[in-house]
Amino acid sequence: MKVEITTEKINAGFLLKLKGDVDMNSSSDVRTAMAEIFKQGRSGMKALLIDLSQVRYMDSSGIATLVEGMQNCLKTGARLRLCELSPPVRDVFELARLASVFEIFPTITDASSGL
Amino acid sequence: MKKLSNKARLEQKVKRLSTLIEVNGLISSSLNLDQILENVMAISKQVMNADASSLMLIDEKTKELVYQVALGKVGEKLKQEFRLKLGQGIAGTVAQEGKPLLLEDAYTHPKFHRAHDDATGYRTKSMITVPLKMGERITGVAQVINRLDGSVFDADDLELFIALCGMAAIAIENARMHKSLMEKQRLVKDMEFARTVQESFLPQTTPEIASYTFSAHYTPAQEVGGDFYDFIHLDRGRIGIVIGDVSGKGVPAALYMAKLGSDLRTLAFTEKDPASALQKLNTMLAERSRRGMFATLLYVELETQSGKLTISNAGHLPPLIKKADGSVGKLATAGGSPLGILAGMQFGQETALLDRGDTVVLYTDGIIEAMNDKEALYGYERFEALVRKSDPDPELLKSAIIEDVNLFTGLSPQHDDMTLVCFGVVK
Repeated sequence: MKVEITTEKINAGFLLKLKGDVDMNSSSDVRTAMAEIFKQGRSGMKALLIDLSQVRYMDSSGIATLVEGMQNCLKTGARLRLCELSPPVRDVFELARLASVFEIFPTITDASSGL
Repeated sequence: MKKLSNKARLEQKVKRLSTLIEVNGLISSSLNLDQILENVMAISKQVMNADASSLMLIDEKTKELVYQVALGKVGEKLKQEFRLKLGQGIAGTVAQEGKPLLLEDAYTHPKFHRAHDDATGYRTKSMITVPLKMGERITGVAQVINRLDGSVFDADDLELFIALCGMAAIAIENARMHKSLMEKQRLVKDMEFARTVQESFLPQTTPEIASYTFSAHYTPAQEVGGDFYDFIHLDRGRIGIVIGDVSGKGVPAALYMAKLGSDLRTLAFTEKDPASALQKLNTMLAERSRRGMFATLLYVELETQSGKLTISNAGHLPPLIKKADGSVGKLATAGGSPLGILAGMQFGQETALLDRGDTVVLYTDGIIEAMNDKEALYGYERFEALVRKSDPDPELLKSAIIEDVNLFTGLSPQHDDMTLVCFGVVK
């Protein structure tokens, strides 16, 4: 299954919604969508929120794409916030102890506040 | 309409048939798609007595029609300056709907896009536009425009042009398949290279230390993941044992792993303990991060005299320890994040004591995520149960695990490397 990506402009910046499998084959699509967001939000983007509630599977290439997104955010002073992690994504994050490096929120509303 | 005698009609049919045979020969004679399409359109223009002909291919990324061939007085200008969106103009409409269109006067069609004529000063009148199709997939459209004798194209012309376009579509499909075959061959070569890089960095032998047994196994995945392991002889009484897994696969993962492995080898000697080695390594990797690549890694320092283990864990699966009494537990469960994500992260370490008969099992996720032909996972529970019931001797335990995983997966190709390192004190 390929990944479906939707990008939404929100007050704080952008909301990226991912649906399906974020893996070796599809992570380049996510990377392209993020690059487009960084291009558009060059000035004044406070945060990039990523909704992971519909992600069925994520491998290390998928995580690397999120890492790259976070590193790009750090360079521009924006925040990368992950929200609504689906159970498979939550498992991957727990196993690899990724919770300490990403900002993770239970809901999009939570992730949108305090920016 | 053109009025032709029966004889002239017959002659025309023969000529058209010969053209089709000629074009058929053309498309199978070469794999140079640009040249083939140029020739097919030149022949179409000539045999259909057209003033201009063109062929556009769909750019899958932008969903636009891009001129591949444009023959006629304004052809070059068209090629350089114009593109059409799917659904835009006559060509865009035919590309979207997949149905051929014969127009006696293009200007009467509501979809006709006059911008090209306005920009070039050309006046389009009669035209035929045909989709290039392979099965249901549309790859582009071809057009012939304005008969040189001033008459309009008719149903016979349409029929002939459809046949010619069918051949152009075959040529496009052949070229696409050839390209994909070449890409596959290149990928296979890349994978072989990645495998060579990867394997050249893995230890060729296991350490030989009195009263200890070390055993290791590595199976590369079909696409070559980024697993690695290493033994570092620190001094007479200390040895470093490393296992890790780089994100992603193929050449990038193999090269990242090679660099990481050599950096860790240096830091293992210069830093005071495993936690500070990983701390430095993490910052080095994060500062030169490319494409978000990272690695999970477990670094164990073993003092051979006392059996003391100092373990620092960067997001890797906690190792198992099988004690001499048969019990099985996890070590270094409270680890830090993977390496290379954020500079300046702190890493902790924990210690444990290895007694006679104890065996430590380090492994990568390729083992517990090994999959059989029913897409079922080998799984952690099965793994732990096997460690529990197997002989604790490191060599025997390693073999038992590999055998059991292979039995489970059968001949299914695996998507991740499988790496296993077992070591312990001889009873």
